[in-house]
Amino acid sequence: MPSELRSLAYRCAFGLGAAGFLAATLAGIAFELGREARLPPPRIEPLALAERAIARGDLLRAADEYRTQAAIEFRQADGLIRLGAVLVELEDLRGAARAWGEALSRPPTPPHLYLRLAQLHTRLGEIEGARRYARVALRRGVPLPPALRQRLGLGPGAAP
Amino acid sequence: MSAGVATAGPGAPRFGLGRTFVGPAFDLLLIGGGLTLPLVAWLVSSGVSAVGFLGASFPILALLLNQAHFAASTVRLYTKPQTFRDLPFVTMVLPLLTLATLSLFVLLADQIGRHLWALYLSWSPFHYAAQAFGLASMYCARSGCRLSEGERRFLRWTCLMPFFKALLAGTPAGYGLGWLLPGSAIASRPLALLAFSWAERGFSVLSFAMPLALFAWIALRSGQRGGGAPRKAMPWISLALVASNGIWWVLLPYLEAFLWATLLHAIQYLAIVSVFHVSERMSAPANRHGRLYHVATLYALCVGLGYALFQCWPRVYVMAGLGMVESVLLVVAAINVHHFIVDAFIWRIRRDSGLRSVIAAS
Repeated sequence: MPSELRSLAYRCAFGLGAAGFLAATLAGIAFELGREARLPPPRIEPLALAERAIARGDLLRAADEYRTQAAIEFRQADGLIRLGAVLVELEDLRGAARAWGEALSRPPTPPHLYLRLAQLHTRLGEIEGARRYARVALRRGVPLPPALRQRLGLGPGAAP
Repeated sequence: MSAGVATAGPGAPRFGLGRTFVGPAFDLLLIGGGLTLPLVAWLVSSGVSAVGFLGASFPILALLLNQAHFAASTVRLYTKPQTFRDLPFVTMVLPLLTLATLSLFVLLADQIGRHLWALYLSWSPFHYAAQAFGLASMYCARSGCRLSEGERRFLRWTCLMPFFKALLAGTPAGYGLGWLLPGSAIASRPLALLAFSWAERGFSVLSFAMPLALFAWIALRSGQRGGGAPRKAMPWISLALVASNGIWWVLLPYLEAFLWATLLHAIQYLAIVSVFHVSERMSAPANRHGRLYHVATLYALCVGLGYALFQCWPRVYVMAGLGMVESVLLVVAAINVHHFIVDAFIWRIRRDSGLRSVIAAS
């Protein structure tokens, strides 16, 4: 590319980049002013939109946010655990079981997740799977609610 | 700026802190990472977590330090003399390229967003290692400790040891090696697990053994003439710079290390940028202001730009109907990557006579 042309291309790129930055900054300020009547605060929380969506009952939007969190933080369980909880609320029990099941492959996972999986599989009528998760929960020191113990046939002295 | 404890002149002590830019306390504590030792000693002994300690003050600290420091490389890029001429691609094309790439990643966050996120988190410890190397060699040069090519190479490898350790330590969280391999793939193979844990220990030990070895090696050979004045020993501040980077990544758990290293690195960066910026501005023929004015305007620019980048940018994508998660995380990642690239160009001391003259100046 001749040097004059390259120089022109560079200048155009700079102009576009600077204009894009300026426009993005002003639009970001205008957006926050319009929505919250304030300047953007110094803290911006990635999960703020999901929490707001849950508060107003828009669980599908919250699920989208958590799904994206799970995709970006692709070795961490947090997004999948939150996604599973929202899917349970949405009565998508199969989806919740998939999300929590996948979360188990992203250690460290909280022990109570096994209890939640046991409860979920009980609701799905998959008693054998539920029993397997319940036993892991017991091994990891999570007490089972008496009703669940009874349903799964795990007495108080059941071997983990 | 005052000269420091040891100077490059004849008759100066063989060992010393090094020739400082501002003063021994400022250079050692803020630039040299001297704050690290008491802080880490307290953190390790008390078991306090970064989140627990910083708590509600973190957003303000992040704005005033972290975000200002990311912005500082951009401010430096556009205020450093002659950068449009010397670095046309970085000054003129890179911003648009960053904007376009970021937008693509935000649009396809579920498919490819994780790669930008993992790139940022895997690259960060390398960036800190590179900064430790740059600053340590700068203090050596400034203090009359001329490093041979082999010693420079050794110093570079020394600085990389904490980075290698971090590459392994980040595996469970999905960064470093974890970007390519799940932690379970290693944990399920006894031999791989053994090799992994030995490698991690090895890099931890080397993070401290190598700087000490280099320091001792240079001390043994100091006083020799290489065609000029006798060579000085390696300044303590260079050793502190390299060791503090090791302390962050070796002694603290990975995510804690990430938070503290980012914060302390930001302080270090803002301090050294101010030193160079003020020195250039003060020596400009048309200068009519004092040091304080230049420091204050530089810092105000950095905080303002940091606020625009980190607080305003993500909201634009949300305004366009995209999710908050991808908007925030990927904007943060893109700004970091841009900062790493810009830094790699603006701190090329050996190729930049302007930088060399600031380093040599007293």
